[in-house]
Amino acid sequence: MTRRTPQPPARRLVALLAVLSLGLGGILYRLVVLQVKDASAYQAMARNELLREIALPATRGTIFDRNAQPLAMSLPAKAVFADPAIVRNTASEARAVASILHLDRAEVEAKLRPGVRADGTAVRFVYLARGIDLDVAARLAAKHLPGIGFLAESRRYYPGNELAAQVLGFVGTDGTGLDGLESQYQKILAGRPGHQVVEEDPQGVFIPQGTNEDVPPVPGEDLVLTIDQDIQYRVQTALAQAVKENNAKGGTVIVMDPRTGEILAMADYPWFDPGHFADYASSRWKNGTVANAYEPGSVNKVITAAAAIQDRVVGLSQRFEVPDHLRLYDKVFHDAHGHPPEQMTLADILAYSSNIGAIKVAGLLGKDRFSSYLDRFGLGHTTGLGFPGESSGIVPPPGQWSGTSMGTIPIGQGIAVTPLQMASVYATVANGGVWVQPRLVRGTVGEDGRVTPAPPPDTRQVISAQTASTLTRMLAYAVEVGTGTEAQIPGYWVAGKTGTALKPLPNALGYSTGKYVASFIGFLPASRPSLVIAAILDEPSTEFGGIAAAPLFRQIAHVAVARLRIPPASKPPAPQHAIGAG
Amino acid sequence: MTAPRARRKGRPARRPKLRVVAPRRRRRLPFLLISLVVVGTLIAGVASVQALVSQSSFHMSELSRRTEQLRERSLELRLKVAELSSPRHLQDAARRLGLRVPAEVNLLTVKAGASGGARGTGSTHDQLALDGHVQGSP
Repeated sequence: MTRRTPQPPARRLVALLAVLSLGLGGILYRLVVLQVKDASAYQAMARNELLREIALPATRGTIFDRNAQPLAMSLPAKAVFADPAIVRNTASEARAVASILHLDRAEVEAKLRPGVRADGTAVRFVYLARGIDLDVAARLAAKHLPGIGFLAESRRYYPGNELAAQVLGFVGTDGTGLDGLESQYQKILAGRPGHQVVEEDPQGVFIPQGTNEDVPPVPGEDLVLTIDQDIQYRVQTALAQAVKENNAKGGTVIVMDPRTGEILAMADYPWFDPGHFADYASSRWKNGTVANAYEPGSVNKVITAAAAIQDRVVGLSQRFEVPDHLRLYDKVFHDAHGHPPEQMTLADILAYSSNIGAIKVAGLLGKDRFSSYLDRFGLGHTTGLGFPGESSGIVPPPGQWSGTSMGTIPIGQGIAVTPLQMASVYATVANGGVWVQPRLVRGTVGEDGRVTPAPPPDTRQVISAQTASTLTRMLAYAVEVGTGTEAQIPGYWVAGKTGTALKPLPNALGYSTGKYVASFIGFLPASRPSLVIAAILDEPSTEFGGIAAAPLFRQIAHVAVARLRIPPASKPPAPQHAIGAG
Repeated sequence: MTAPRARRKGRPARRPKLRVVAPRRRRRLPFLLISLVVVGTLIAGVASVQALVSQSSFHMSELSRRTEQLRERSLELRLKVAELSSPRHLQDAARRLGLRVPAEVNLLTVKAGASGGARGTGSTHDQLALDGHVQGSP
């Protein structure tokens, strides 16, 4: 028997080769998949494991009053969120969160329970609270509750609470301005958020010299208002008191500098606390000084008189025979008080607020000329303040006027104006006939402290300086002897006009009975005006503007002249008058 | 064929005696030592620098955190100041101290050349114009 040398079986070798080839091929394929095809995905996963992106919210700009007192400012805060999929013990975590954040435990527990969205995916993010103080958030963070996280954000504070609330407006939970100047100047105040990317180890410890990308946030610019915090406070105190004393439904006050158009105070009662705006009815959020249009009543007679003087349709010593009533088409107009026919000059008509006298003067002007003066004084147009929700008022074009319109509009009925529009009319007279666009913002301050003043206000000559001067004498006379005596301030000569207007019915069909808007708008010192004040009360129990609103004007003027150290000026000469002239 | 012939003719050339020369020994130890020291120093230096950089990074990180904390504290204090200096707070504080808002604004008339000082006028219109501030009638 011959022994055969054992030979490796060819088949086995082939099989082994094939297996090895397959194995190597598999490894090679996997290598290509990992290193080439999915490389970027795995790289991203690795980066995500190591890198953490931190959002850096921009600090919202502060809103200052004219003396750099903060009216609204932002502080860093935390938003607390939960990932229900990571929460371990729902009940105990809910108890801890609710206890520290002062929330309802059941509500928190419901949020912490795993949930499913409408699309079938698990809920991985739910806010538990927003705008939490940093120290409170730190106390919660110290508990290291699984599934509870924190996001940087800011919270808006209003140190004066209700101070200038409707002017400032408010921000939402995400820090976006929703109303008032907060909304109007959102882009300037908001700034630009940044972010930071840092490298961390699996325990979340920062790795020095690792990736560190830092895009710092750009803080918002600060806003400097024309509002004087102290005057604003005293205005609000006086207004709230006047509303209470007169059993009024509400009230409005505007204090402005007629020379610059700067608004020193602006209040509309009732107001709200912008830090807790959601607790108040939305009707309180509205800045009625620019958003509410009302029938001005007799304060509108100043436009009638200005037009008559400017266009020389009446002489200053010209006497009108003024009865206490007058029929115009199908409507009979009355003066506020019955009286026998009297001889009145234009100054008397203004001083005693004669409706019939004003209608007679307007009749001499004609509706086109009179309408053009309403337009020139800015009625029917927004003031250019740019305030959210500002109304342009309602002034029908002359083509739509009825036969009785020349009876109603000259005495301030049948049109609607905003309190700011009417204050601007008086500011125009006080400023030598030059209308100056009202403004609330003096300028902005950048992060570097650079001050950018607001653009100069628009101006236009509405009536001549001579007409304005003559009108001022008449308005001062109205306060000295006429319906506005309650507005007198010892030591100062005040020029102004009362207004008492019946409120139209909500359906615009006629007027209500016994519901009035009482107002007094004036300026001082009459010979050198530096302050215009509009005081308006809605539905006071004492209907007449001279009784209800003039004392409010006086009280505010007292405060303002002392605060602004306005020196008195000489008494303006009395105008030509017939009543009491002998 | 000419060379052997010539050698045979002349005296044979004397060759210098060859001697075994000890190989020149290179001293490696100092070089190794110096190398080790240099490399060691470099490694230690790099490690130290790395440690210092890391330490500085942690320090910087800590300082940044502290700066942020102080900035937040500063903002909190600014808010506190704003709240305390708000007119309502000041008025409440003044009331607690027994102060009250004056009902009337009293004006003082200063007459030019008068040596008797100022006197309160209250409501006498004709005496209220401050000298130097009187403006002509329009």
